[in-house]
Amino acid sequence: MLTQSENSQFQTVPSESRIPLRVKNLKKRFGRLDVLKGISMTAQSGDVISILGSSGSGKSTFLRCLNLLEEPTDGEIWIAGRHVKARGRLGSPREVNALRAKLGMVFQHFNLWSCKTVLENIIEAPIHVLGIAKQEACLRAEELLLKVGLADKRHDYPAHLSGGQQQRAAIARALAMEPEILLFDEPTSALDPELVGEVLKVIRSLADEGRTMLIVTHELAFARQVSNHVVFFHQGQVEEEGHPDELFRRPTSPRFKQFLSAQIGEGCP
Amino acid sequence: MIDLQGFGDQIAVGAFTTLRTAFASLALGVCVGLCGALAKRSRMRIIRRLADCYTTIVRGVPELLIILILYFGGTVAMTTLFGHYVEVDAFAAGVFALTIVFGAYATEVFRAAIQAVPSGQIEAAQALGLSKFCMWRLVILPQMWRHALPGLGNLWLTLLKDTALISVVGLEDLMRKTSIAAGSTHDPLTFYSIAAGLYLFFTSISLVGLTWLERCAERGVRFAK
Repeated sequence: MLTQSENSQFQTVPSESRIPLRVKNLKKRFGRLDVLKGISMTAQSGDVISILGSSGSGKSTFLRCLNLLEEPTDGEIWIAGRHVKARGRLGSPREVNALRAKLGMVFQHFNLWSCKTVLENIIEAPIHVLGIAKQEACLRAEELLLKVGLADKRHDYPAHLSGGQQQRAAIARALAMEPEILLFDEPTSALDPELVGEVLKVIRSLADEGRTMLIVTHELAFARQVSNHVVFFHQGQVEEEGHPDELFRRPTSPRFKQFLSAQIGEGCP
Repeated sequence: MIDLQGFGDQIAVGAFTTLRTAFASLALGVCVGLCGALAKRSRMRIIRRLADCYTTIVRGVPELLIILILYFGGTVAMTTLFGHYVEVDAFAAGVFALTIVFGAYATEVFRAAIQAVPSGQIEAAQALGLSKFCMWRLVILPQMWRHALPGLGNLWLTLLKDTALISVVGLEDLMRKTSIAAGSTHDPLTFYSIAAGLYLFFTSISLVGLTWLERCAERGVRFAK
């Protein structure tokens, strides 16, 4: 008896299970095109990691591989210590869904369900995936709407909202699942310039709460302010990474320098 | 006042049979159409091919022939099965034939409607971890109706009128009752006009219903005024 309990204690790896995300040598190939050529990344609890890179560098594909919207060609993924993807093998649909529930995805084009009101958009997944009672899900949704500043829009359909409001509703929908990690795929790229600020404000408040987040973005100033780690993708590989202050002040890779100067040339800070 | 010469009851019974046939075929045909559309999107090639064969054959042969072939084919099959002559019920045969026809066209309507649902809507459901069943029930079906309704509405009108074809295999529908009345009273114009008026009445009511359904399906899509 004693040895058994000792054994089981030995088998659990507490330090590992506290790491929200670990990716090892992730590869993705579309036909002959190598989009991701082996990406490794670790997000500790509370990390806010910004992923930068020019279009086609594989940033979005990387996020989409993490929640298996794209099936990775090779590599390994651990979410909250659970091994979910081993070399070309995916779990059962049930396992895949359980994994996806732990990752909150915010899309560039919001992807709110057009046939449902804001409130319905938020409560469906908690009810049907987490098995929460409708009443409780509604209460939680109201709190989240208050947090993203949309309490008065709960019964509106997405088409009646501005882009910024839709994206904030989409963030509330992702939060309702109480995910281990939030994945933002260019959350402000589809917005009118004057609406970007309200969405960034919400994301910043989430960072302040200590949530673990991966943000693919073109907002350099925002990435610099909000994240504690910046990764620059180039042609499917991590070209440069580090603390934002260090990275923006003294970029070493010529490609990252080029990227920065091009962005600044466009009027970005 | 039109003189129905005592055939009023018969025509009412016929009209009821017509509606019964049409609604039964609609309900079953929608199910067949949904299954057909799913089959056309199947990962398995054999299933896709079977669905292609089904829609190609049924849409390529006149409805009247399909009804006759299924009716007489059904009789032969039942007779072989039970070892003695079995007369196929005209209502069952009619509903079956119309379901097959409606299902084939509905398959194409639903296939297009499913394709019209933006992929982002489906990805959002996947990203939240919804099961396939939930995704269909909560996201795809409510949205595809909007795209499918105009096409389905057309098919429904065709179906309602196609029930008249079933009279060839002896279904006592509006068409058959009318032609009996027309034959025995030697006043075909009056009775056929009445039948035409009734079909027009049913289709007009349907159009009102369809407009209402389309407005329901557009909920959330129309912009606020």
